[in-house]
This record gives sequence, C-alpha cells and structure tokens, in this order.
Amino acid sequence: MNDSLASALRAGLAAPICLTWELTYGCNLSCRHCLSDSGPKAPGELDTGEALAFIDSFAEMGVFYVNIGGGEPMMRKDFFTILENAVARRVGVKFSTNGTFLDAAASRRLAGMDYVDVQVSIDGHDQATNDEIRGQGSFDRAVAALGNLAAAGFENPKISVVATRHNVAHLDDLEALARRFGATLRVTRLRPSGRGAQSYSDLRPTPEGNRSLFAWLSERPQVLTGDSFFHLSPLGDPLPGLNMCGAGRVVCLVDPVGDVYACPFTIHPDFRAGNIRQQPFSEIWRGSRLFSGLRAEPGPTGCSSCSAYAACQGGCMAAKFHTGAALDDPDPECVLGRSGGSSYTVVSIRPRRAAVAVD
Amino acid sequence: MPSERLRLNPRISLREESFGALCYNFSTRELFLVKSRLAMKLAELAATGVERALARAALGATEERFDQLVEALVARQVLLVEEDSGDACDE
Repeated sequence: MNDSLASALRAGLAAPICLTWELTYGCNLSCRHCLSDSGPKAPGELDTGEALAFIDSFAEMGVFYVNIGGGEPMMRKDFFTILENAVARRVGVKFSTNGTFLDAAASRRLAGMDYVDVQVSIDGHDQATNDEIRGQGSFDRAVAALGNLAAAGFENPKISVVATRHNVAHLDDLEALARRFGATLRVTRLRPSGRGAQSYSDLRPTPEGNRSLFAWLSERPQVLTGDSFFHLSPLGDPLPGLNMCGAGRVVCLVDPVGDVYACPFTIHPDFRAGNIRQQPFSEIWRGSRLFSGLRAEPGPTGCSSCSAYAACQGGCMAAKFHTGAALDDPDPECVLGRSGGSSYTVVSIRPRRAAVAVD
Repeated sequence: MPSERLRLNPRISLREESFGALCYNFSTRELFLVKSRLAMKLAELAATGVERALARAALGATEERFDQLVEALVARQVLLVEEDSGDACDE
C-alpha cells in the first residue's frame, strides 16, 4: 500500500470499508478463544425490523460489505432474511459460522445468492486439535458443512483458522483440507478479547511459532489473513493487505444490541462509540469522539519512536488493551521483544452484560 | 463504423471520499483507490452507459488523456467497453 493511501485511510473514511456485525451472542458452541464471549443470547438483541433498517442505513452510506458473525449467526431465525436484504441492497456479506446449521438446504440457498462469502471456522487440522478449542464434535460438523457447500455448488468457501500454538505447525494440513473442498484458507490472529483473555497465555503462538507463521504466510499470498498480522511485519516484507489498525478508521463492530465499537476485538465500554438505537449509524461513524481520536496521527511517544514502527504500526490496539498495556506501548507479541517477552497481565473483563443498551 | 459505449461494470461499487473515491470489485473482492476526479466523473457518466465520444466531450479531455483514462479504468475492470450498434432506440 502506498503512503498516501495509508494516510488517507488512517484519517478515516466517509463510511467503513466493511463493518463487523455480530448478529447474536447466542451460540451452540463455547470456544475457548471466543472474542465475543458468546453463549446465551443477550437480552434486547436487534429484532428483524431493526436489523433491516440498519442494512438500509449502511447501504445508503456505501458500506461495501458486512462481516456477519456472532455468536453463531445462523441461529437467528431471520438469518436468511437479513442476508437477502443486504444482497438486494448491493451490500456484500461475508459470514462466519461454525457450520452446525449449514445443512444441504441452507447450502443450496447460499449457492444461489450473489455477493456472499462463507467462512467456516476450524481451528485444527484434525478432530483432536480442533475440538480441544471448539468443543466435542465441532470438527466433524464443520467438515460436514464444507461437504454440503461443495455438493450444493457453492464456490470458494473459506476455512477460517485462528492461529494458535497448537495449530501453526499444521498449516500445510489445513491448506490441504481447504483444497479438498475447493476452499480458500484464511488464517487470523488470536486476540486476548472475550474468552480469549483467559486462554491467551495457553493458546497464543510462541515467538518461534509467530516467526514460522509469518514465513509460511509470506510464501502464500493466496492465503487470506484478515489483515491481522501486521504486528509481525518487521520480520520481512509486509503480507498483502492494508497492514494497519483499522479500528474506527476503516472498520468497526456493531454488536447484537446495536452498540458500536471500534473493532471486533474491543467489545468494552472504553471503545464504545454509540448505539444505533439512539443515534444514526452514520452520525456515530462520522462524529464519534472516540473514532476521531483513533484517526489522529500518533504522537511521538511510546513505541511510535521505534525504528520498526513504520512496519508494524505498533501492532494491535486490542491486544495491548486487553493485556494491560498502554495504547502506545508495544504489542504483547512484539517481534523485537520490546513488550517484555511473555510478562503481561490479562486485564480483560466481561463488559458485555453491563453494556447492554436499553430497549 | 460502430461507435463504442462505456458502461460502469455492475460488479463495481464506487464511493466518493475526500481523496477521490474508493472502489470495490465484488467479483475479485479487490479494494482500490481512484484519485483522479476526471476518472470519477467518467465513472459517473458511465453508470447508465455513455457513448465514448460524448463522454470525452463532456469531460473536455484531450483524446490522448481520455484514452489513457479509459484504458486504466478498463484494466481495473471499472469500465466495460461495448460496441454500440446504434439500434438502442429501434424498439
């Protein structure tokens, strides 16, 4: 990415490039690293009418696509209504699912839709590795979902993998699994948010694991990364993507009750910019003081003075916040070891229940 | 000799920004920047299809500049060039 585009994007856009929309906190699984601490549905989740009105608002703003997640978004009875409305408004949809509800009929319905990408989450190359994180039976169900998609003729689904110390040595096997189903592999970073805060020390890749992961990804530009490994950029040439923190600049997150946060990994009152029940989304995006602050150039403090800052941009804001670091401190996985190695304190709390908006 | 029509690729979504425009290609899932105001104006003209010579006249661009612009936008799949048979109004 050239410098002028980078600085233009850092200064914020008229609308997000994409936004992540957690449709529900309800989930049939309880993955150890769930970034949104999902399980039971939250009280007061947006109803169908509110969801469709929200689609109208971001279609009018020109949001290119929406990343739908949860929870397990397919647990919502109006899941396909929401998808079909987004597509009808020419808003692309990428949705993440554990695959449980991706049966033959749902797969056929998806195969007939335009502008839709499906990301099936798998966190290990085999049942044992995956199920240890995502729960018993989850590997088989995800693989069955991929089979259903293939049988329905759904082209190029994604297998979405959160890189952990238990699976980074098996990326070749995961790539082979993707090939088996005509899928593209997507590998993203584990963040210490949600339940990831409790499992971070056990699951995060070791420094050696991060180095081998970066080398592996560098040789495979076709593997998608969700732009999440820019903290590793000092290890070599940047991976394809924007390679910057997009929080409040090019992306944001809307949770099931309409709260707007800076990014999918900052579901916390400190990063709440507003609620779409109380204020139009466009006003929150353009006028929030929180987002204005995130769009400002960093001052000459903390790790912005490091010679590697241009490459890593200081790393992931959420990873720093949830490990108790200041936002201008190094990333907890700083490849130059400036974060103090593995000495960090996880401070993430579970703010969601307290932050539920009033209906 | 048939003339050419320029049409905005229906798989392209284009959004104006302070620095120009952002384009998203729904086929390739690529995001890219359009900085030239002239290019943006051409894309707007082509939204419903426009005859090539009319578009150049509307933009007031030299032939060379206009051809460069069209070539660049075609290469990024923003514009489609269609042969204009001239029978569009013969229904």
